[in-house]
Amino acid sequence: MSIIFERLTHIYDASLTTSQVALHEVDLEVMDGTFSAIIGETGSGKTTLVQHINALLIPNEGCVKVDEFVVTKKKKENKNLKMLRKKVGVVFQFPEYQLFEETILKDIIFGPKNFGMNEADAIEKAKEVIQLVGLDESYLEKNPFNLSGGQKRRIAIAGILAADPDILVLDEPTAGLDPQGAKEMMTLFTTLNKDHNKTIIMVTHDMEHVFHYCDHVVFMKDGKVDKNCSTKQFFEDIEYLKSMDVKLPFIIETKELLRKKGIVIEEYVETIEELVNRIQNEVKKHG
Amino acid sequence: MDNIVFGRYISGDSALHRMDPRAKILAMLFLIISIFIPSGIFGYVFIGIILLDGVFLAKLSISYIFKAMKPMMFMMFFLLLVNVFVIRNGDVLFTVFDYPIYEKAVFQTFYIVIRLLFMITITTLLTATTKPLELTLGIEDLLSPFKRIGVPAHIIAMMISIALRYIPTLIEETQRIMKAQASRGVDLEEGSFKEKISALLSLIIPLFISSFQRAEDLASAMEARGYDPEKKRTRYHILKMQNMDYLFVFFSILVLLLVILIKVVFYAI
Repeated sequence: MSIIFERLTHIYDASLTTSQVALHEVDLEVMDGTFSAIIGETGSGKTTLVQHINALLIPNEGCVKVDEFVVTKKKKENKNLKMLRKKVGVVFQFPEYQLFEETILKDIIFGPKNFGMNEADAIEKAKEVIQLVGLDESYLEKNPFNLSGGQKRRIAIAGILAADPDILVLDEPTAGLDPQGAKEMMTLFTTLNKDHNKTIIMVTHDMEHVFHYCDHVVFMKDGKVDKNCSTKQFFEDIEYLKSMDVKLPFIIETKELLRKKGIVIEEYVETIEELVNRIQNEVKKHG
Repeated sequence: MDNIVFGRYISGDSALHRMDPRAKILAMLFLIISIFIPSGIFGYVFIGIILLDGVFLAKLSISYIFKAMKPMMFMMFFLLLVNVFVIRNGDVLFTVFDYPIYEKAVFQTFYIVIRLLFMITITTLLTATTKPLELTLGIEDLLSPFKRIGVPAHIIAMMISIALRYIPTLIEETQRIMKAQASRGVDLEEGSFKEKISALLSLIIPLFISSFQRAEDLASAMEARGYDPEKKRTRYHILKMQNMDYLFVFFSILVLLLVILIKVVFYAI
């Protein structure tokens, strides 16, 4: 039970002279139950990579395996794409643009009904997920287009969650949200990961989110996976981060500045409180 | 979706690329008029040769022109079919399952297809060698004499250029929404008629909403920069007709006259 990419190559406009290799023989395994971040510069192939997980894009070479589903370039062999898409929910960048029904309820049950759930069950599910995303049932009869941007996004995410996917793919889910909204969103994803046992793969540019919420990091560069390791290993390799121009999370950067001033904190610190305590200890030690 | 060739600009540096857009638009008009003169087989061979030269001048390949026609193929085939069976003039040429096919029907149909072919070739020649912006400037200039009778030349040109500008954006947006809805189990290929309609709605409504949003944003951005369609504007690129351009327009008028001549000589009514 995991997502495996094998020698995955994707070329845009393969038949034209303007063809672009977006992914080049990517080998990657994402374990079940993890919360992985996919990071890298714009154009490094992050979005292309994740869109293969539910066969929105079909590989030019290689394959993607999600449990019993295998997606290859041979179109005839790619059966049951609908079931794969039920299993893998993809939340696009600015998902609020996918809303189209006149009530929120209708929009949320649209996905589950497409996947064959009957209406009564879908409505039950809608009531469940609307609370999960931090809104209440009174919203269900409202028109989604009258809501604020952040609320629309919650509704769109609820629409994906309602189909009850095992794997959730998020493409920059917090882009354009205010810090408070972004934080609530990340808390929601952590809950889904920890309490509902969903595997989460998140494309992001926000290193703070990677540092605080994710347990794995996949670093993409020029269509290849350049580094794939735990978050801790990733942020401990300062030299690598600097060579790749990765913006350091606040805590890591503070540690780095302290190190330059002669205050060395060896341990991997995850929270500000912990960092403050460590600094205090170091200062006391040196009197 | 990625393979739509018709109407796309192909950057290059051919004689046609360098030509003034106004000259090209005028020449296109004259050539299209000459296509619609029923000048028989001689006339069409003549126009065909001229158009081949045009393709050569634009440094395009014949296969590219055919690629541009691809989306039109179905329509052409349909036209062909209907015409062959419906027109009942002249002598019976042969019969298909006891259904007589008339000589005139075959010829007429042939001419219709040829005309369409030529039309597409001419418009492709224009759009492939003229940047959308130049094209709209050309249209604006050509329409400006009609300003006196109240034709808003500048507004029309601006609308066309905005529409052209947003075609790629709209295609991109469509693909994005299609993917997003596919992730929610929408299947545009399978399913009953009712399911297909709801699948289509799930695509069209978000597209409309984002288009309106985009239009409003664009309008605000233009207003913020003081855009006023009524004001007199200067231009960065000033179009100037060269001798070559006059020659080109003159030549296209000549083609038109020759086609009329062919008609008069061979098919005097």
